[in-house]
Amino acid sequence: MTAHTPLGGITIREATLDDAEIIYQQRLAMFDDVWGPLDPEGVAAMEATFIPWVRRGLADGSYRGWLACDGDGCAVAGGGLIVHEWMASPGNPDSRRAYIANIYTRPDCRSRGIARRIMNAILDWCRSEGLKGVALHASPYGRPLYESLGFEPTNEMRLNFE
Amino acid sequence: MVENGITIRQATVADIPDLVRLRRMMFESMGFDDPAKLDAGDAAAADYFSRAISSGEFLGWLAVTPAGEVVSTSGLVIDQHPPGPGNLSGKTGYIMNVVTHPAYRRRGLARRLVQAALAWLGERGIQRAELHATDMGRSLYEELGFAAHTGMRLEMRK
Repeated sequence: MTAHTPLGGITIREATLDDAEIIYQQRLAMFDDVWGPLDPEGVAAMEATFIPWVRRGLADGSYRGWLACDGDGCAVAGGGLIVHEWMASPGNPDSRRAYIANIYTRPDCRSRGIARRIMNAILDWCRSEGLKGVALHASPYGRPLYESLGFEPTNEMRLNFE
Repeated sequence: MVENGITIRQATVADIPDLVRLRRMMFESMGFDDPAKLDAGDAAAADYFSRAISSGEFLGWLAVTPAGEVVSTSGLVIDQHPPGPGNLSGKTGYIMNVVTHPAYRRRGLARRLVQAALAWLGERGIQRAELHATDMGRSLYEELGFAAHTGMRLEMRK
């Protein structure tokens, strides 16, 4: 496990199985920020599916999480990475595709560069693994950070079934 | 399903040479023209298809002429994203490999092939589909209900 140098009393560390609940709470808060108050039924259903899912992923390595913790060890920000097995193409001979999710900072800790440190920890890991690229879906709040890190919009489209 | 003489059916491992041939055609139409890279892409795709069609991880559909020629394809993989309030299973159908031989365009083949992939998702209760659109494909996807989304990507530099 790698711990990045504390800066402003904040340490970045990789998440473990014990952090599943924290990751869930951060994800919930992220949706609440982006979409507004969530339907309680939807929240209950998401808790039932997300926590087992993320525990499984943390255990088998298909989900990796990073947390920013204050001096008391309390997580104030976080982010995650999913690596899919994928198909090589002429532009990318790698058979893996990486996707960043769950980038979140507690409101009272924003504008201190903590999400940027989380992102850099994730990107360092991607580089050390030799991944050729990484994708994400940006909220309006996150977009400026991602742009400053070099992310560019893609030609992606989405369809949600009724 | 036969319509205008063209049959739509699901791809099997026996169809890998045709899937690879049309996938290369797709990259060529996107402007890839380095034969060495295209050849390497063909070999990697053949390897991937033989593994992923057998395991059910990749699903392909083909449009086949009465003479048995494959002239258009579509592909689908199921990505596992984190479950969220808008998509409780977290499962997202990623549609790719949509390509039609130039002589068979403007006949609705890609539409039928993408609809086959969407029907497969619908039958399994998967709530979401995503893709990356070329300029040529965009209007078809918009007609099927797709809208531009918030995806961003970073290409790593050495």
